[in-house]
Amino acid sequence: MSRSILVAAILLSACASAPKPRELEALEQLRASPSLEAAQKRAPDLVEQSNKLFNKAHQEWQSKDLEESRRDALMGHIKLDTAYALTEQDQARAKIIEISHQLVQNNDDLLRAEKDLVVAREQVALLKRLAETKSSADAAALKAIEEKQAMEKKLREEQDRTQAQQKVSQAELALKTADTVDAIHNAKVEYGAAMDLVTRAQNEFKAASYAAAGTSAEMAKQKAEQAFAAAKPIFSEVEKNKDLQSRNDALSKDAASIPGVSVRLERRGEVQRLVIPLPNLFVRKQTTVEPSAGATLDQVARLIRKYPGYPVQVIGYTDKVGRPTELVALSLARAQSVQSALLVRGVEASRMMVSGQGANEPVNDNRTATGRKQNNRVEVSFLFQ
Amino acid sequence: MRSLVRTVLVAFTILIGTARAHASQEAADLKRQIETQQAGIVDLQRLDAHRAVEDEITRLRSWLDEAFSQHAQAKWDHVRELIDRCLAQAELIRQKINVAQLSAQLSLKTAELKQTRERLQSTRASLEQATIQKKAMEITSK
Repeated sequence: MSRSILVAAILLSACASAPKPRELEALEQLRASPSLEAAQKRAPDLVEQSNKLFNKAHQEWQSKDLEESRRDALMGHIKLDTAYALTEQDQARAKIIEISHQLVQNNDDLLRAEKDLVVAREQVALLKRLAETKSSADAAALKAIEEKQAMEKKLREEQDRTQAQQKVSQAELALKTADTVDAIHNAKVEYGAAMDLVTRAQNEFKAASYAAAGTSAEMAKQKAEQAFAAAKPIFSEVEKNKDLQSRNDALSKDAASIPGVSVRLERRGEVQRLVIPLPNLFVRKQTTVEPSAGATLDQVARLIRKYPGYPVQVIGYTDKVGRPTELVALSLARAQSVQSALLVRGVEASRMMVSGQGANEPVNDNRTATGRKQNNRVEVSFLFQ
Repeated sequence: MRSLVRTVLVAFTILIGTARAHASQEAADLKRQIETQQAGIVDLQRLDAHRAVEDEITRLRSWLDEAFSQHAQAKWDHVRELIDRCLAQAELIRQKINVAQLSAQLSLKTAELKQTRERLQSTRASLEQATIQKKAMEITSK
């Protein structure tokens, strides 16, 4: 039994295949490469030789001729490896050609891009210079505008100053005009306000607040004009009175200087009379002026002509001796004689009012001769208010 | 008969002599081939600037050594087989050196291409920037 088992084992071991040589396995792996097809196209002789050697090595392995199988597999490996190397060379050369083409293309593109870049940078540089030039021109224009604005401002200020000065001057002039009518007394409120406003305008002008100074000056001018308007009638009235008074005084003084005449001033209501009594013009009941009275009448006539604004009354009076109607007629005749004498001496008739008062208004006692002599008189009166 | 034997003996002797001479000449020829290939290894090493086939050269050298060994044992068939294998191996080494050289050249070209592309990209970016700047300044100057 044991002998038969031993024989069977020996037979089985004899029938079992030998282990595959390492070189054959390596060749098999190399043949499984995806590059095999390309290698067949590139080096068909080498691949064919390798195939034959592989088949031979395989058969030798199966027939347990391991050494021969190993050698043939090794040689087939070398042949196939060489075919692969040739394929790799072709692939590398193709890639090099492709990359070279790309390089040429890239270099062309690069050259164009660099040229374009140079052009673009030159244009940018030109634009920068242009912008700088424009900027400096703008700055100069801006500076010119600013200078112009400054000059205009200065001019406006000067105009404002001049206008304000003119207004202040006008206000001062108006104030001086108001002074001419004594507004400081005749229109105290308006004049005081105008004065304050002028002072304020002057201070504002000094402080270079020309607009405010102008406004204050205008107000001052208005107030001064109001003061003038308010004071003028009062002042006129006062001046008129002063003038009249002085004329009256002058008249009185001139009248008093006539020799042999004593003047008197009478007030009858609103009317005043400067009376120049002319005695000794007539003899007894005569109505003709004595020649000796010519000098006095000359001076009276000169006085009347000197003061032409005064109305003149020529009134005759008598003493009380006789009938009143006769005395009135006598006194009127004597007054008319004096009027005629004055007319002869250049006095206008229209200025003179002639009347006879008879024995009325005696100036002395009619019981004495001296008194009666003085009552027989003609009075020339200047009338005024 | 005697002359015939003599003739045969002479012919046999000549044949043996010729065979020996031929074998001796072939042995020298094989040795010369081995030495030639060994001398070629130096050239192959010099060509292998990229050290791409050092293993292959080592293998070739060992096979040539083996061929010498077999030559010394007068195993001519083995020697011839080894010489054929070494020739094939040397061819393989040359082709692989070519592959290495072409790969190096390809790497250089690839690097050059990459560099050129980067330069082109940079130049185009600069150009685009300059164009934008130019357009902006043109608009501003109007």
